[in-house]
Amino acid sequence: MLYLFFFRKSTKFYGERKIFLYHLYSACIFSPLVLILASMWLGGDFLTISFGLIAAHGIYSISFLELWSLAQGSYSITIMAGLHSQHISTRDRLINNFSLIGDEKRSSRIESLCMMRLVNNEAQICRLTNLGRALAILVYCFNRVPNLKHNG
Amino acid sequence: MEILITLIVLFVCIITHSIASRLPVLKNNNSVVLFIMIGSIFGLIYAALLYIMQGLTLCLLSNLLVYAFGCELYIFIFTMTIGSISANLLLRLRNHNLTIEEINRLYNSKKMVSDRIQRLISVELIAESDAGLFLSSKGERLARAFAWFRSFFRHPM
Repeated sequence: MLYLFFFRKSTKFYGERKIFLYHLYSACIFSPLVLILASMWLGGDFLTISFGLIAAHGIYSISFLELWSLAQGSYSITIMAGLHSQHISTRDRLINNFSLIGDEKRSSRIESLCMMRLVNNEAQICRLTNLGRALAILVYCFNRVPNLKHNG
Repeated sequence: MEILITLIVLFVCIITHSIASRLPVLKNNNSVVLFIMIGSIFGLIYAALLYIMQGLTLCLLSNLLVYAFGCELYIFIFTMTIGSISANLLLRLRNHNLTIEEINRLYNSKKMVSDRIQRLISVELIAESDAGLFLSSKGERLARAFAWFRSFFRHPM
């Protein structure tokens, strides 16, 4: 509600990091508050009901963040929006029009991985840091559980 | 205690999805659709069992919310590893170091757009004719919905 009526219109509140922090802070305040209030007002089931309410907040936050980032910069959605305005286009024209997005995405991803200290870029050679290697193993596991083959 | 059972149900559901995605009959299916099918079946059976044991209570709803959150989080994480360039780059760097030049070659922007277009055609959001590519009716609806979301979130058009 706060987002719908106030923050949505504020330019200071725009950006992936700010919107993520808004949901993170909200969860950090909401979760202990629910646990405290439920333990005061509810009987033996307070823990189950508290987790249910925290899960509802989680469902809302993940759905919101996913929609927000898809609407902002999803590759597929951008291509579809472009095709929507052009109505019809040849494959080559579409590739030429949108290849710039690919260049931007690639360089910004390398930069952000370096900034998060997941990747070291020394003398034009990229290598994983220890933190990056741990995360890569985690990504690999999530890739293997559903037997995914196509990435990127 | 009930929450623990919910988490066990979720774990079994994920294991079932992992096994199902390796079965020759199902392995070509879309992973998300397959998980939604398996997750829904597990969710419905679990909801029915809880209803038989305790009736329609706040605890039943809470357990289902925790289960639904777990399912959404799992889908969110594994779809991120399919489409995210950063996740893909981490996986490649896990095998060996790459020079910037190699990364530029691997993530050739024209190839990336071409792959995306092919994926959009395969899921029938874009259709192809002799005149060129155009949005299917499903694609039109999705593009319109996201145009609305872009304006709602105040993203630059």
